[in-house]
Amino acid sequence: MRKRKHPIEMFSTFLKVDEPSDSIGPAWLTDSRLKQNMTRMSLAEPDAPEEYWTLYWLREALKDPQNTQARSHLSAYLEEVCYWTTLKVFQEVANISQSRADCFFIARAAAANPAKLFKNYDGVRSSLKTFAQFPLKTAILEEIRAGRELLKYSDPALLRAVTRKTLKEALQKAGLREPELSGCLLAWQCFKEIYVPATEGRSRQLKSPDETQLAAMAEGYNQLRKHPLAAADSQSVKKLLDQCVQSVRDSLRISTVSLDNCLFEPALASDDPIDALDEPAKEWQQIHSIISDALAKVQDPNQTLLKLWHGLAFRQSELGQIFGQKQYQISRQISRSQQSLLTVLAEWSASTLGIKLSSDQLKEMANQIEAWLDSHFQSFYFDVLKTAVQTELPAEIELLRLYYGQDLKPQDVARELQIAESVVNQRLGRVKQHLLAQLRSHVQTTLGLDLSSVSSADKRLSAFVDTFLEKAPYAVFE
Amino acid sequence: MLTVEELIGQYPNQVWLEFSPQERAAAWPATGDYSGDAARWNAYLNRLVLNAVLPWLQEESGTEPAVWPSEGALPSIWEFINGTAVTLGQTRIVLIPSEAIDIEEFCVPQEWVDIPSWNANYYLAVQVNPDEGWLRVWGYATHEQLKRRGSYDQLSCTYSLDREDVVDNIHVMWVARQLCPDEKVEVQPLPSLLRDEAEVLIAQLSQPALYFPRLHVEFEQWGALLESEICRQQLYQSKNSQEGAIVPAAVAAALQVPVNLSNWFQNVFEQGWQTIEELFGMADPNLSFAFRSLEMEPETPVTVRDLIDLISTSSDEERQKIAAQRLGQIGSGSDGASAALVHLIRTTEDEETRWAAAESLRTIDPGNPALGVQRVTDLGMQIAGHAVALMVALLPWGEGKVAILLRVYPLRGKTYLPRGLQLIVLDEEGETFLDTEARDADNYIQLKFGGDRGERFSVRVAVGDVAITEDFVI
Repeated sequence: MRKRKHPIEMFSTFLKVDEPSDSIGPAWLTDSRLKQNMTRMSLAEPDAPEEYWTLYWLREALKDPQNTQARSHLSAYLEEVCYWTTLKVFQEVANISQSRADCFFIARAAAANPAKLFKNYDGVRSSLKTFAQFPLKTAILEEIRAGRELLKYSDPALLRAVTRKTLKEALQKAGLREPELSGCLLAWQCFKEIYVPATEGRSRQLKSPDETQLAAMAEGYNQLRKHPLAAADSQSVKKLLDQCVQSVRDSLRISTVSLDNCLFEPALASDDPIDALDEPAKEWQQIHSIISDALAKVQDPNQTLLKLWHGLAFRQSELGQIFGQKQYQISRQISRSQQSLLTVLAEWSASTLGIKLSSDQLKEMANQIEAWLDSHFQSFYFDVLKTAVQTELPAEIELLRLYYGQDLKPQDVARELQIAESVVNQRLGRVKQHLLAQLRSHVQTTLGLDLSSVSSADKRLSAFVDTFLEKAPYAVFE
Repeated sequence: MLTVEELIGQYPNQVWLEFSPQERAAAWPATGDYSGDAARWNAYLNRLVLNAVLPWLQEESGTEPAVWPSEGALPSIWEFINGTAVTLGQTRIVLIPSEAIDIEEFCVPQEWVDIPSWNANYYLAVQVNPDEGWLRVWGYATHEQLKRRGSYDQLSCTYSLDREDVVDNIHVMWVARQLCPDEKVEVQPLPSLLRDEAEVLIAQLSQPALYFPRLHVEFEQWGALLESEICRQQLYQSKNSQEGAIVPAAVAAALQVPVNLSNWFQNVFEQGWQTIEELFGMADPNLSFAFRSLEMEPETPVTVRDLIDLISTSSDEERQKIAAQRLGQIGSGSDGASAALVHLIRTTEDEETRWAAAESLRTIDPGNPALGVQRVTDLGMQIAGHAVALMVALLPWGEGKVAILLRVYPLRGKTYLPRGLQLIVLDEEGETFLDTEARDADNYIQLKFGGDRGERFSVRVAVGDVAITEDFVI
């Protein structure tokens, strides 16, 4: 995927999503309205760096959550995070019933709501993009797990399965105002109190409340109602509950960010060399030495565990197979290592930086450590592959540069190199095979493991090679 | 459908636990334990969660978790509210189950946050799916977060945190517990309910046709009612009896729940036990602990220094006691005097000397923690129409020993106790262990004795055949 270089681009382009083929990117589309706006504003701040604009738009968006312009600029800025987070989820989670494009849309919708996404962002500990990846991942995971499930529920089961907040937001989205809103919420509260599953099981398909139950709900409603809510009977309670159900059902559709009013044009493919692989960002510098020191003290085989987990995205069940342990034991070992790293970083922050520790602070530090571990171990294996390309596949660099770096289609690459398209595909396949073999052998030798018993190991390693090829800094390859 | 194993892999920072159909069946409460379906369902979910989470807490912390306040108290809590408290050493954790499939908010009943003796260090957000046989602890919140950042909903009397505000990495809690264990904020103390008020409330709230008893009175009153073990049990029983309110004359006597004196040292008091200021409206209505007059021997040394020396060197109890009394008169402002009195309180074997030293210490250093705790309860008009109050004062000393002073005062403007009023201490077997009786013109009567942690005793206040008995555990 081509990296966006200039702030004007970063804040005005979106990845092209093709739903029929379920592909995201690599092409960028420009929202001309956002581009005009950024261009105009850049006149006053011609040299302002990326960070200036992220903070500027974040401030604007938080000041006025209705500011759609600020939201759109930030949403554009977070496209890569949405993309990589989607990919990461697909690497980590088996059997996802939604499409990639759906998941990307979920992330994009979350990214377009900065007031929620960045509610607790302090601007100090991590960059906006690093911070965003955790809530975006949660948004996708929750939608995968729960979003569609509700559709299978009967009306009463649905009412029992939502939080007050979800219900309230659905009612507000449906246009309800006070006092109707409070009326619905109170009816729902009475429903939850009076209608309980009589027997266990099959709670998704609960039957509708009977007349006695509705009358009891009306009684409860009347005991608690305050001015200006009018007294209810069983019929009016039923009506209020129906309103709740309808609003929740209406709100379940995956909301796509409305990009309707924008005129899209393909972004110009720049001739600039593609950026080097992400340098260790400034945000890491401070914690880098603290965590590396602490990491060095983590015992083998936990080191190996962390390398496979953070670096190569092996699943816990696979790690269990590799180490001959139960999955929960693996899970516990990983969390123990993370807790000890967190303790080190927290104590250092408290004593050196004078930070007053709290659960909020520790949560951010834990996310920071997790992101650091991912990036640390991934870049280690990126380097392995980079060396392999440079020393063993120098003849293929030009091909990779055109195909991955410039996002050219195979036929265009074929034209550039004056070879047949089939040869392009063949050579790409060979590169992948070669890198996979290299990575496998490197992992087996350096970590002293035998991966042959783990059937899905090659799947993880291939996925890693694919990510590398997409992210690799071809411009600086010799 | 995803297996729990797969889910664990997807959410490495949360806790997923499974339960079997047998465990589900076992969690179902016995018939008759709850007043209705809603309460029974609430108890079921909380029991499922509690049973599954306890072993995990033990495994993670290496400490054996204990149900708070006790296993036996759970029905009287689950009848009215969602949530279960557990202690791990000094840490209190409240488990809050939710059946909702989404985790857009974490919703905690106000009782767990605003009742001073109930609030906890951590609140675990537990999503439970009984049908599919799993639960997950998807995050936690601190008391401070709920109070500072939670939004309060008046309709349901709950505090809610948005998903973004919940700490959705459960491993962080164990580190926070080590590094910043104090994430709690002060909450307003709840007013003490008078016995009459409590009885009226209980009668009102246990009417069978009343939904949401917790939402029907001001939170302050509700919280105070619930905080009292005795009142909560009473409310639970009369709600659960389905016969409307039955309010026996003496709530405490009917229930025989002992007053837990050890809790007093943690500032946890049963309902109805007030400070002396609260009951009498002043600090000291003739409340000198020990003696009505001082008998000074002529040869008693007269400088503070001499008195301190005498207390620390003499082995004569009587002389020590007199020196301690004298220090109360002239020792004000001397650190040495306070220290000597504290030493005497904590070490002397003689109860009279101990209380004399405490009285002097109260005079010269009223805030000294060695003074222990004093609380008083209004016994109402139940003893043949006489209004009296029972005071219990406690002084900790030695290893787990507690010195106890009981006193009965007249109330409602009376100066003297009725002649013949008896104060009796009964031991665990119900045998009389100490007793005293009011004569003509007694302002109060009192008894002093000592006990060890865990010991039980009862106090009976009687006039003729009419008596009130309170049970205590040290």
